Amino acid sequence: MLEPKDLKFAKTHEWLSLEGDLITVGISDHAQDLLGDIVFIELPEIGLKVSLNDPIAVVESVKAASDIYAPLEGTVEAINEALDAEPTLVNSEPYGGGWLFKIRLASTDPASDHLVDFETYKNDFVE
Amino acid sequence: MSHLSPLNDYHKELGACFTDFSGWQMPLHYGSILKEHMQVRESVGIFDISHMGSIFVSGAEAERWLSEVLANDACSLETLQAHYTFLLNSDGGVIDDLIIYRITDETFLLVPNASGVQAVAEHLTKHLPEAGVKLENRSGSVVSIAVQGKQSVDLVGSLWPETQSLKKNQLIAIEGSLDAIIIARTGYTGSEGFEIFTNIEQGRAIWQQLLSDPSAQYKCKPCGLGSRDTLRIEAGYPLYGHELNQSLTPIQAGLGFFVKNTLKSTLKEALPENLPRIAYYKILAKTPPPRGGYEIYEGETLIGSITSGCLSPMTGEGIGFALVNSKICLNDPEKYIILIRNKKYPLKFIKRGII
Repeated sequence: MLEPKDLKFAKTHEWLSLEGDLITVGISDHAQDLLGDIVFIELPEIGLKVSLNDPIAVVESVKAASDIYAPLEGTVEAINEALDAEPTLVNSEPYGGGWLFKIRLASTDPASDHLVDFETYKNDFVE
Repeated sequence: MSHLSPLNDYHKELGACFTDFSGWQMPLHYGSILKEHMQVRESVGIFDISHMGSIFVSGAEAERWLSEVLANDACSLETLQAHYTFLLNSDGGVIDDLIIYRITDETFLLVPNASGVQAVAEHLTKHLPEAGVKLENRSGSVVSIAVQGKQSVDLVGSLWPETQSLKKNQLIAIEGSLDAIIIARTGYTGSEGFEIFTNIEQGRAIWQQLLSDPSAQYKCKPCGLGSRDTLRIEAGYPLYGHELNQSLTPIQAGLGFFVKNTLKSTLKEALPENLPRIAYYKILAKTPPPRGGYEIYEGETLIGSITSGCLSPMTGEGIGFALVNSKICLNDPEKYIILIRNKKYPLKFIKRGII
């Protein structure tokens, strides 16, 4: 389980954690709460090259479908296969077992001004 | 400014997530649509349905007049019985679908959808005979509660033992301290259940009583409109605005069973071979939830689109209703395809409901 204070957030409600040039991406607790029970998740193909803000996954709750955007540029290296059988992991463990995919970054020092820390995310993007 | 249910403060205390439904602020869920769905299928849940209309029709001529204006034959309805019916426009299109409860020989309660109350009340007022029928629209000042699930019989029976013997579509009127409490063995979830109608003060007390359950025997939980929708889709019940509207007749909606025979023949005669109609589908692959507007193809030909859908919380299958522009074959697993975000999945049409 990751601590939100150690993560970066996008205003479209994705979080990411950075280990070297590999990022893990999920959606915030606030986002899963807004969506409600998640019943289906469409994840990108491994090896897919993604640019900043490409819609690369879809998280669907009973009521709505929501696009998930690539928070940085790179190549999809892993997807969370456990979500296929248990999509509600995104509800129950948004910062842990409910991670969505990992991206190997195109640059070791990407421009990340669009990403904010947890405090700023909470204050500016959560009602 | 939306209408608030007389139970709104209780919903807030229970942590409801609200939605606007036909101008009413009503609970969408109290935490989880899926859990509330399973609560009804496995034990018992209660829904606030006070947004639905309550129109009382009474008088010596009430029975005869209602048989004329409604699509089903009110004369065939015995006292303390309820049935499903429609109010139709002059082309046979559905103004609204409603349940009619015969409380006494000369008193009927009509329960239309929240979205239809105004249209139904206006239509009835316009066609009211000069004498012999009294129309009283009490919508908004009645508390209506649906108690649904297999344990509903025991839960409702623990409060009102006289409900134990009620069969499907039967009802009783119990004298409350202030006003009558009408309890009917009806519902719209496909599980066993009751619907309760009474005045605001008694209704508020009943809601709290159903949830308090001092013996903790039934663990009754509040359920919102989110699960009410997935439950009715599993059960194969239509929803006005999705499967029913002013330009579809009940025959096209596949609900001719609920139309009196004389009217049915007239409607059928007016129905050419290839008018659009409502059909029930099941997707034959693991897919995202089917949603309104998704297209259905027979081979390469577009034949219709989804009007309602969900992944069944019971089975995980994609199910629901579609509007198709011609006759379809039931149970053919190879003919039809649904397009979801540019991917094709096999689909078949089946008899309504999977529970």
